[in-house]
Amino acid sequence: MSLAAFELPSELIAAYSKHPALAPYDELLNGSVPHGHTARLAQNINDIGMAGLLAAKAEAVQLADEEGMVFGAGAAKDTRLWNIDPLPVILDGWDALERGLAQRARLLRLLLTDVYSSQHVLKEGLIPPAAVLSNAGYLRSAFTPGAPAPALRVTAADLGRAADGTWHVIADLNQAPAGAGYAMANRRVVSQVLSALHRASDLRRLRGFYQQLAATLLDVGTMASETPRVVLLTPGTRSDTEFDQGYLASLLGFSLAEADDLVVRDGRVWLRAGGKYEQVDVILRRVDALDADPLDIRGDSTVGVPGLAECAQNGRVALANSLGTGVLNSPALLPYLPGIARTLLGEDLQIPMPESWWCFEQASRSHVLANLPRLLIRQIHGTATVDYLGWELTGSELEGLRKRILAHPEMWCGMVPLPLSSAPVVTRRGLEPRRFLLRTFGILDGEGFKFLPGGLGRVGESSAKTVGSLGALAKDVWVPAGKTSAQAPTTSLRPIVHLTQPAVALAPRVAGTLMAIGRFAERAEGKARLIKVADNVAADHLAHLGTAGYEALKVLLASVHQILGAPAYLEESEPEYLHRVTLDSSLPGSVSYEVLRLFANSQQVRDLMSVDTWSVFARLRRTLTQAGADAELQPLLEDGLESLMAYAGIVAQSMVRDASWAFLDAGGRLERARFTLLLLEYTQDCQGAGAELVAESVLRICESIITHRRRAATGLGPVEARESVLRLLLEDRANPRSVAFQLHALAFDLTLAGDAIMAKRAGQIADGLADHPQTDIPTWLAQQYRQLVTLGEDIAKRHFSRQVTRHTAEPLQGNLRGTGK
Amino acid sequence: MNAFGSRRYEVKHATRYTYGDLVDYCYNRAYIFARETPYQHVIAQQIQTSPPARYLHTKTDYFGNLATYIELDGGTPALEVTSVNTVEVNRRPPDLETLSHYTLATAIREAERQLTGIEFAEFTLPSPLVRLSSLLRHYAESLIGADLGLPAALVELMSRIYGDFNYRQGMTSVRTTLDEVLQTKAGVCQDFAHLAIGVLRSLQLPARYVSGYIETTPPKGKPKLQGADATHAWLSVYTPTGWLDLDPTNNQFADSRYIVTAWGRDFSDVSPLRGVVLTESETSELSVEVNVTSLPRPK
Repeated sequence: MSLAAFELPSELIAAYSKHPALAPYDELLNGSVPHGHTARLAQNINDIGMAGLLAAKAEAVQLADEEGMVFGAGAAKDTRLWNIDPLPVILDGWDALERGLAQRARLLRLLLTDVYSSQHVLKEGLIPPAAVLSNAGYLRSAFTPGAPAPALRVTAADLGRAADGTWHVIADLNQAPAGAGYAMANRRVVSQVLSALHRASDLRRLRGFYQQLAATLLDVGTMASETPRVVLLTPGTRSDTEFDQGYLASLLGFSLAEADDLVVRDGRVWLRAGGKYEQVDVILRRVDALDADPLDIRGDSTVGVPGLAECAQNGRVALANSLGTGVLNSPALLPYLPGIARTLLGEDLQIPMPESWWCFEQASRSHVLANLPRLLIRQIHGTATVDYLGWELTGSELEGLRKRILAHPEMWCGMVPLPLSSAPVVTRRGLEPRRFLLRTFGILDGEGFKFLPGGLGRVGESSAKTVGSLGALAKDVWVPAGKTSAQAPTTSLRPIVHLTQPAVALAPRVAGTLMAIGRFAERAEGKARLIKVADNVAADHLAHLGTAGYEALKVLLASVHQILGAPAYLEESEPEYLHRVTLDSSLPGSVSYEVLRLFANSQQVRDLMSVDTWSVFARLRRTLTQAGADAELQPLLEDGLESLMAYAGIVAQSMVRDASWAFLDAGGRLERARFTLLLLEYTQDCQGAGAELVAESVLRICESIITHRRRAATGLGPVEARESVLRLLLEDRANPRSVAFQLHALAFDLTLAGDAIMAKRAGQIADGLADHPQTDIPTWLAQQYRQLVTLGEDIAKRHFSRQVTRHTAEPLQGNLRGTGK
Repeated sequence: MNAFGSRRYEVKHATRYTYGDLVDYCYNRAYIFARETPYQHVIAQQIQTSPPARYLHTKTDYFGNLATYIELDGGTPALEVTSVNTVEVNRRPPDLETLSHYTLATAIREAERQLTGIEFAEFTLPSPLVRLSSLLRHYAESLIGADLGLPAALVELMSRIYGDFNYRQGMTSVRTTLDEVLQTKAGVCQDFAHLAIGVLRSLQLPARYVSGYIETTPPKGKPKLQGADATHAWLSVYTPTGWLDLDPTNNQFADSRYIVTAWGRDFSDVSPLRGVVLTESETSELSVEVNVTSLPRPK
């Protein structure tokens, strides 16, 4: 669409164009009119207006929620939803930028090889040796004379624009860069939210990049094996970007592995899989190099694998990236890169950088110290960089910084701050300009690098000048296809790889997580049904003290207390109590507590979960976490149960019956059997007027009331519910809600998982159910319950064993003084 | 007593891990092979382990040391890693006469001129266990005046550490910082070596950490006890005549009784034996036994 076709700016865009926070270069507008390549987007903004934009924003939030997109560490508390603005940033001139990025990646790759082998650039002073040697990312343990240097296979960079719109590289990220998973997930969300615009725009597709990434990793591995095994090594739940890692692993078709899943034996890396070891050839590494090997790098790391560095050094496992690439992240190198480019490549750097200084050099230090309030002050911290904004610091803070710089000048750099471009963000107050950063991702292909078209965009949480953390507010980045790329798609050069990763038995951690998922889903369901029936009975009988109904209610409430392990407060009414044990996610045992555990555990094995599960979980979490204090409990629980049934349907209908499914199902079966036994134990003793209502309620909770009625009506079963309960819920192998049914299903699961011994035990417990005594049934039920607890513990011992605890041992050096004289 | 000239030794160095429960597996990084130097020739060397190593691989590391990676199978509560090195050491006394022509300032200039930029930076920058804190800088300034002659400065450095600090085991660990040593005024040889290195680096004189062994002499009239020796650590400083080994723990320049295994920036680069042991045991015991035996001098 040409500029001429753009209609007069709407009020929205007119107001945006006059916004005081607009940067010298704006991604949408050139003055008061759109750029040529953003005309269609601007037209779209005009067309849908403020109401449409807010609706798009709400939909983006909802879709992110439905994908389970989160950011932040920890299971529930510190995690927040990934925040996406619906308006994409559209880039022109991508081809040139990509060429520049590829050039930079080639340069960094050569530089990496040099500093870990001949060290020419240091010997000739092209880079002051101290700039490399003082960096914690320069791993001397990764440098063996005569052995291959660490390899740069994946690369990323943060870029921003200068006032005239030219892109500048602000930081290189070559350690274990995060965000390629988020970038794809962003595209999925925005292409749905603005589907008409997305369809009308001919964009470079993202998929090819991930195919290239998988192909490169498999290529590296084929040196070792015809069917190389690739895993993504993750720190797991401790990582802020757990979603990114899980999403990427499932895009690539590689398994997620935590340190506990891997083991070094005989100088090679193995995946612990169902009691056997399977060799790992390639590791896509998302654990920081400094934490990757407690033997050779840092002894206190729990997310690393002892011996990994040695295996990598000897070429027995390939890493992307190798240990030691973190030195390339150092801002101390930036001032020297243009010179290095001319020497190593014989070329000038195509993408400029803001002017920067490394404080170890006398002249640079003086300059930085004299200009502190005008500079971005960067501290080198391990393989990361901590930025201080000189212009936001007080006099005493600047003085403190000056002292720290003088004490350890090698750890500090200064950089001229870039103005950065602005990009519009949808807010309730209209479009607001926010400063924009672009993170690009590259992958080695032969001797060159291929890039994800565009990358991961992010903007600040407010109009203030800075861009916050990765999880602040994301932007999808669109690269128009253009003529050249349409004729030569990036993936046409090599056949699309069929990702035939050999099937594996499960790592113990994975099997344990799957079983936990099955258990949490079942717990949420059982508890929701129990509370729903109790609440129903309360509505009918709470006001009628002394009646049979009231007696029954007391028995049911006692069961809720027992099964949830949550007593009521003294001053709390029964409906308030039921409300609280459903919705208070901070209360261990509550329904919403179980749902959050279900979600957190599922994130850890994202590579194994069906993609449809996330939207179901999202709905479930919304139902339970966004309900107000005065929400009606019945429709809420009904809604929650519907989601849980939808989840059960996905598991039943779309999961292959392999070991993964077996453990997931086993968790649910064991939990349902235990729940039913407990419920029967707490309600069996009930005598007198309320007993029949209690029995009916139990049948209702266990979804068997219809069966009871039908059998009573046709003379196939007893008329009284009291007499039906044990038969239907304990021993009836045809009832999918009975304990016997669960145990036979459990035996099937365990057989599928290859454990005949535990399968046999489950079958034996099931067979014993038919012979229950006629008196003191609660005691007998409690015995059965304990048998199941032991069975669960034994399954865990046999299948989920973590590795033996690590200890580091390191004697001091010491010679008694004087004896040498 | 000084002992320069040719000497021959057999050094046996055994490290034993003992746990209260079975060990499942054990990974080791060992710097227990003596290295070849202009003044030290390695005649024979080997490593033995109990149980026998399941996997063992020795490489030359970044600093030219021999670094050995060892995997040991468990199944027992005790593991042992032993090295035996037979070496010939022939050190000459330091040429203090030549060095007396240099002050600290001129020695620094000479080091910058003679060493490669890489070596100079490597051994003057702070390192993981030698942080150049303000406390250390103050200590360094109080110790050595810049106008002091080089030999006098080095002698002063050794004797001040020797006099001001108490040799005491159990006060420090492999992670102890120099500030802690400066405050407690106590430590073992590796702390004193780090301290001297820190002082020299804060003055911009290159200094490196040396790990090895020393032949000890029993008190007069007593027989030499088995295992009475230990691993030892000292430092090298770069002088206009080359690297010179000082031992602040014993307040002397290294002579031919000093046997070198490895050098690096500090202990963390050349720790004699670092192990990652997999066991559920609650208790552990680590014992090190070193025997330096003097062999007859070759004809």
